[in-house]
Amino acid sequence: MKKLLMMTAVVSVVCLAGTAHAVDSTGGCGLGSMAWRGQSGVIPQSLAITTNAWFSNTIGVTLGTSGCDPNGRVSGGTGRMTLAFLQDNMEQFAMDAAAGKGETIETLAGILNVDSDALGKEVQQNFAYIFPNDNVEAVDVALKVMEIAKA
Amino acid sequence: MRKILFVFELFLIIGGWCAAAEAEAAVDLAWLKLLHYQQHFGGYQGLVENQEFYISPVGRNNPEEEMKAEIVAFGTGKEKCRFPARFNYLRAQGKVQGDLLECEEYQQFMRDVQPNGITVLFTNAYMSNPASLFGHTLIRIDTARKGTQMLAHGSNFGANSGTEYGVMFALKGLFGGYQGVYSVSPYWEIINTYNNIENRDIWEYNLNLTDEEKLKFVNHLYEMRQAKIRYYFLSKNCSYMILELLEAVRPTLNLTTQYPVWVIPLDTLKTIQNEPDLVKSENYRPARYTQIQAMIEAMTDEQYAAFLQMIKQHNFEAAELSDAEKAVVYEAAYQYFQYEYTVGNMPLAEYRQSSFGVLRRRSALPAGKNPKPKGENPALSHDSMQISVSGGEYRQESFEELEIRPAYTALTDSSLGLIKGAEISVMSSRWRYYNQSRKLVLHSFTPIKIKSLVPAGRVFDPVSYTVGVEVKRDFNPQTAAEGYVGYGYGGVGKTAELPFKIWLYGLLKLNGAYGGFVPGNQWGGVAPEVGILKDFGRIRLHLNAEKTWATRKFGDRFIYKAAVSCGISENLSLEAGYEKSRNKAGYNQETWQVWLRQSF
Repeated sequence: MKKLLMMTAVVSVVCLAGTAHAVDSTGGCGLGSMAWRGQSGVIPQSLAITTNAWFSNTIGVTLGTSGCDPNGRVSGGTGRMTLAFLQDNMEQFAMDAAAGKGETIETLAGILNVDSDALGKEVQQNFAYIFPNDNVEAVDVALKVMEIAKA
Repeated sequence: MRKILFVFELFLIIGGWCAAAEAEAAVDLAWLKLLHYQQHFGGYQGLVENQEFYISPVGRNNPEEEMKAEIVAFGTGKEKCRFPARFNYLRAQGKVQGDLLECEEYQQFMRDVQPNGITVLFTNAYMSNPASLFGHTLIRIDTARKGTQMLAHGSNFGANSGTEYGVMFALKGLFGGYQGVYSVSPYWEIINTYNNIENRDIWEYNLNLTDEEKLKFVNHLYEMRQAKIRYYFLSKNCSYMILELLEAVRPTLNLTTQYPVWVIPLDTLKTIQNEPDLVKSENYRPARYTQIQAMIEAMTDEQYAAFLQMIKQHNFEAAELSDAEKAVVYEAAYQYFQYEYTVGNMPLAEYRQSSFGVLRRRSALPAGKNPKPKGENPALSHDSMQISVSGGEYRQESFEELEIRPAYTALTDSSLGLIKGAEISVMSSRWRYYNQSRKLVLHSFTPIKIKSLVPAGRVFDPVSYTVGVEVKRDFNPQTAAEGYVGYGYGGVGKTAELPFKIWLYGLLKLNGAYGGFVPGNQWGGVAPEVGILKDFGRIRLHLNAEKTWATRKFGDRFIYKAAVSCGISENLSLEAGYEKSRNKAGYNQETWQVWLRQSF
């Protein structure tokens, strides 16, 4: 009986496998959501890290300007969407901005309704302006990107 | 008299059946599938358990009453706003009038989502993690928004398990202890989770649906947000529910009936792919790990040296490279820092400084070109269930064997579309008939066997491992008796890729055996194993040898194996194998065997 139990345990741990996906009950506020902060363990940390490590979004959250939609959806006007997108995709955007092209630039160009190639060139040229140091706020980046796109 | 009674009974049965059919006349297949009714003791029962999903109090078990109740409710109040797909269905039949314009929440949902298509997502196995070897499937509601599909929405069906983990999580998951619910999130979040954090490739299968079907799909997902379904990891899981959704949208499809017992995500993908004209196009979205690997493997020696300087010494100059060469190295280094930080190998301050240093230099260079990794479409992989017939010789006696492997793949099976070097066998059994002694025996039963060989690359040095549980018929030379022994083993090691893509691996295993038939009832041992694997595509070659030092002489042994497999088609192959095991206690076995393996 013990053996059977052990076997069931081993098999089930392996079998529940790819199909087991716990639902995150903290709501759909993006991976960098504050809910992850202060939790221990590799997964919560790395979740929070991916978006908040280099850039912090504390200002956006405290001022209530966060684009984080309570329903976990892409929502709102240009400014809110730009901020929401950058909060969750800052690391990828930083690389695309440095390279002058990429999926996040195409996406931002869509949100801001501007030409993607032109935006790519602009953000690459203004990289040092958008990212003046290694600890920038998502809200600042969003404002600068919008400013550059308007010019 | 008997005959008359029989005829009379027959009439009764037919009459009863007809009456039943008439009562259900109002309810058609489309309705039954839209509300996920399933046949249940001659009647129906809804897969969705909570009352919020129905309007009639008896709705879960009575499709017709539910329809009647909805016709009444949708005609007057705002109940229709919770069920846009059902409302549209009933309106198309002329049973209700009106529209959904007054439904504010629904209209907001549609404004956010801006749907214009449906895509099935398949995420590959998690790097070296057995818990995700079967993959995962999700739905994406494609968006008409300007920009890219990053602004689309993904919908995931998962178990609402809270914070429970471990064995309790496994048991509850297996036996329906959790409720499954749908969640919706921006697609960029799904990309981050799978591509960037878990390092799993994503495959996107865009579906070929009519505009009406696309709308019905989105409306139906909207309805399903309030559905609670008992979650079974093996049978009522994420992938099963995608088939349910597809049938709800196109009732003529017959997908779920193909999966009466268990549902493997990769199998459902093939089911969808094999349905004529259902998949319009595929797109591959490589994981961060895959991208880094592709970039590094494509580097020249000078580029690679500069890359090592960056990641080890944090020297970002790379003076000897051209601008275009430098650009690739900077991008690879940045991705690498991200990877290292995400898996917890790099402290925050160092990560920030290095990332910034690399990107600042990268931004001064013109746009470059990165190699895009090529993936193999998982939907083209061989089917996961396999039945093999074979003939051979064991201890100077010929036998025929039938092997049944419900899932999933072996090192000698075709690896097209699958993770290379991964072997997973679940619940497989081998039945032998010995011709001379004229007996039929269960030769082995293997609840689980996993071998994961991942070769070390230029930068990454992953661990290879194996783990398994098996009951096997064995022979005791001292008593000349045969009996069953239970084995368990696990081990870790390394794999190296030699020239000509020959893989050489070494594993150090701990193993144990248990069974009344074994001298002393049990033994434990240490067993180093070495092997060579060469995948020519159609032909696969696998050689290995292992030596066990055990607590009992009986367990001490050398085992040599050689197998060569030739693919006739993706699902049919011919394999020949030789196995020899011997020890000083006179335990000496030799097996020759030729298999014909059919997957389906």
